[in-house]
Amino acid sequence: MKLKNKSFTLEEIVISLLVFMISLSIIFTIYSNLLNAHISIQRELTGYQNIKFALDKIYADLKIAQDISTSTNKIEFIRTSDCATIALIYATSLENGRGYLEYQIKNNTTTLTDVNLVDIKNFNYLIIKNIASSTLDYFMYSVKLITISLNGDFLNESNSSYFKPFNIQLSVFPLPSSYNEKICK
Amino acid sequence: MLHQRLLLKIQGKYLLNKKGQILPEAILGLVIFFIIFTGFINLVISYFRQIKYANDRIIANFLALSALEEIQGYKEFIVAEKNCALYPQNCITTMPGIAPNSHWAFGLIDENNTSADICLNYDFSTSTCDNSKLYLINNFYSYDPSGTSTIFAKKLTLRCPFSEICPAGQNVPLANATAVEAISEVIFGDNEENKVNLRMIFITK
Repeated sequence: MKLKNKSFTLEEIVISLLVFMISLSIIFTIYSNLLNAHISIQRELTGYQNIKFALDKIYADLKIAQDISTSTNKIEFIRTSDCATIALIYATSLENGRGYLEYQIKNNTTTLTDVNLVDIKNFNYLIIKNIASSTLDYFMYSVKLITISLNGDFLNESNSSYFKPFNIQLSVFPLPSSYNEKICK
Repeated sequence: MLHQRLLLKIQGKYLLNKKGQILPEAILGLVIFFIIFTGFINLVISYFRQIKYANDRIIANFLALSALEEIQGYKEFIVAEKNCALYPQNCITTMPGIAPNSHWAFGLIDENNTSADICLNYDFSTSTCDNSKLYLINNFYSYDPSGTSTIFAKKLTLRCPFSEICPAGQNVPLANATAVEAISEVIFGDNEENKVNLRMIFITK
């Protein structure tokens, strides 16, 4: 028997190339979407860690705070461990209008949140205290509970249309509020 | 020579086989493909679910911690209010109904309760724990159902598990206990197992 030396016809080559290209584009689209989703979710995770870092810092300082006072976008208090005056300020970036938290200690300012990761749109707080004269013992008029709420979006620099909203809240009872006298005079 | 011819015949038969895949082969191929594909998709879904779980857990942790802070703050608030009831001239306003001998959790628990579930808001307003789901009102998590629904539910349980303070069988009310245990529980998402539990013991007197 004589074997025929068959080769692929043009139609076969064109169809196989077409199938290959379609498969490749599907795989590439899936991979690209997964990669984008992965990057976005990693940014979100980093954003949460950034907010967590800020709130952990705020909690640690407010837990030992005295003389807590508030004004627009600002919480001020004295940290009793070193009697340093600390201010927590909500500000917006002049560059891109994004909101962030500033931490001010002895006139040195640093940022607590990263505007490239997190855009804080609302910084709300509420303080609860007994309505009594400040000439009494400290526990009679001190702040018994301070609640801070942060609301905004996590951002993805490589995808400007990506916004992942978040809303996080923390309440703190400052320990020095139960004392008769202030620690830092 | 004969052997070589036979070999060529067999090779030719295979090379010139015009038959396509038979049905069991095609099905087997598809099944293997779908098993691998399903495994891959599950891996991806599981990855995203884990990240979402980790993120929700961060919020749940802060909410659970906040519940413990709220009860401590409330207790100290009542201490000052009791003082206001004793010396009304010292205070501008006083909590209605409070007396100098009121118990430490006045307005939160009944005097005879030996354990209690508490749903206390960040502004010291209370809610029944029939619906412990949290809603967003003015960006604050609250029990007020008029807000936007969230995936979080928060509950604080007070009890006295200490044999020296609350001996078993004697049913010492929480109001009279000198120390209580507060258990803060925040459940998030549809799965009841997604929860954060924080415990704290505090002195009430």
